[in-house]
Amino acid sequence: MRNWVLRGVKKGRVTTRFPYGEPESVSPWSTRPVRTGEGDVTCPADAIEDGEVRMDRCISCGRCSGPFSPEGKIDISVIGRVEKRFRKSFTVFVIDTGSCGACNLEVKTLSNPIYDAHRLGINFTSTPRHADALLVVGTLAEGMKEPLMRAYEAMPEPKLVMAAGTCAISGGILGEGVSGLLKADVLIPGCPPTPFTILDALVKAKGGP
Amino acid sequence: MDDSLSAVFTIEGEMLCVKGHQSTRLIPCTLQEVSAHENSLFLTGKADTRERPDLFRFNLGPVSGGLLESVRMDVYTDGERMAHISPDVLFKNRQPAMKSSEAPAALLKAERINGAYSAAFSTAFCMAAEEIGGIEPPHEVKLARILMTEVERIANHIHVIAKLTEGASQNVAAQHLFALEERTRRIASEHFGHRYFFGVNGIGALERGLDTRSLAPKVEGVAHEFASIWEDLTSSRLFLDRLQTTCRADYEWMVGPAVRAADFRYDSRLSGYLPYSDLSFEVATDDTGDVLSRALVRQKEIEISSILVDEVCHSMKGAARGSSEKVRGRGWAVKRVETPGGDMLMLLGLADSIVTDFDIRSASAANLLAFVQSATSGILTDFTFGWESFGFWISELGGYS
Ligand code: SF4
Ligand code: SF4
Repeated sequence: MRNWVLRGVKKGRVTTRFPYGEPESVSPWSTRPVRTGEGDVTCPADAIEDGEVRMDRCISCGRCSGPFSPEGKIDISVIGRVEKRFRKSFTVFVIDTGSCGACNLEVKTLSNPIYDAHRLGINFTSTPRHADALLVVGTLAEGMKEPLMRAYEAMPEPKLVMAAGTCAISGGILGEGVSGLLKADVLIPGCPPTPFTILDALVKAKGGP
Repeated sequence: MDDSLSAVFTIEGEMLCVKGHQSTRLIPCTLQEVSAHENSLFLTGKADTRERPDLFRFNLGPVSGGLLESVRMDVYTDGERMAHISPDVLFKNRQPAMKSSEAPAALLKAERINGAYSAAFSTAFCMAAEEIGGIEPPHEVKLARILMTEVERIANHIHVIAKLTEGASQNVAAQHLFALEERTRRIASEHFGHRYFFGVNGIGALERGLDTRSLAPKVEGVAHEFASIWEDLTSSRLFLDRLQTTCRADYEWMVGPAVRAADFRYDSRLSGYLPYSDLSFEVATDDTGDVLSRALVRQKEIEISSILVDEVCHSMKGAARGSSEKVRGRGWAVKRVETPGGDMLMLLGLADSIVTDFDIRSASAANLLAFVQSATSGILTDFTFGWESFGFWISELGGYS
């Protein structure tokens, strides 16, 4: 026991200052690629339109590197609805409708001491009945359509739907997104979105830190 | 193209029969292939769903707290003992469309089958495509693949041990480990441009240039911190007691840390698919086959992987960026790669760079039956330890179209 206390003291503060300060680490290719040079690019996800990258389709593959460079900004989410009633306490139910596992890991990461989402009033629940928001990760696999709708229907009002990751938003290169069944209020792009991007979206959707 | 002629793995006598679009190939069948084949009976949970009035049935999932992915388990209990577990892993079966894709696009799908093992999956795909196209990748590319797969192994092993620690309610230690996993992912992001190595591997090349100069000391720092956390963790009798003798599995047909924890020296890195023989690679084993043994093998492998990273960084002169080569010709190849969960077999068929056949036998498929058998007769609270100690990923179980 003594060892753990000493270890903690020795380590000092590991928790990020974000959202009160800048993110300490940005995974370059999970941010928006922007044109910085000449040259043709074939995007495997058809995400480039008129020289701009559509983040709802971008799979963070970096195949456009050279003519395009990652912008390095984590605030790339589309916040279609803000629910200020959740500002002090925001409970999120995560559902994997067909993910590769990386989006799940990034969401799980928010509970570690580095991101510590709890300090911002964000908690994760294992039942939709206690949830304010449904956070969907992965493409919409046939077998998960019913569990997704049952989870949504079990949630109390008011409720938010959030799609995290390109698979959940549009299906990317692997299938269809959640929009075939539910309208997502918040879109969190990236493949996978970085923990800072997810945290930023969660904070904004609940009306601030 | 006749899509009905999909590639399938079947067992015929002592051979693994791989039926492809163009032809059928028989390769010597390992015990692992047999077990994965038998596991297919369990994958849909239909193997044993008959009612047993003497037993109480728990339905877990497909979405439940504690489990990271969507999977359903029917757990039959007799008092607090688990009498049988019947998993149904196909709720989130995505069936990615691999066939008819161009090889470079299919590579991006292959590395997204299991995001946690993406470096290993992309390496298997590239090696198979290179064999079909007669492409010899530069030595630096092979070394870069070792770097990626070993850093990936470290991150995943830390994750598994963190989950076991969390399960044993050693919460402070668990949070130190989850923070260390995050530190490893940030190292991957700094040096490979992506926390999960997406988009780095290419056919015969690397799609991104790498700067490996400060990678080794950072990875060594992670291994060092892990060793110190592990030392404190294993001084807790509470932690050791919870893991020791739990979910014992000593089957030779398992793969990965599970088979090595049962004292079998089986590791597909020994087959030399990458130049491991030039490095001081050694196979870590333990001899009890319980949850603690599987954690001990992972603990030793974190140290070994960190040494491998150091050696590769010293012999590497930096890897220049290239682009995936066009694969000419037609044919197919079967490749084995040691993912963090164990040996994975990938079949790829190509005809002028278009995918004609694709299938995998994942580590999770090979080990699922071992989990079911080892957890049966344990008590219900052993479930988490058994499940996490094998390091299963549901994303790598399922079909492809
Ligand atoms: S990162 Fe990949 S998916 Fe995104 S715009 Fe560039 S090429 Fe397209
Ligand atoms: S968006 Fe990317 S990381 Fe997330 S589930 Fe899909 S493939 Fe995996």
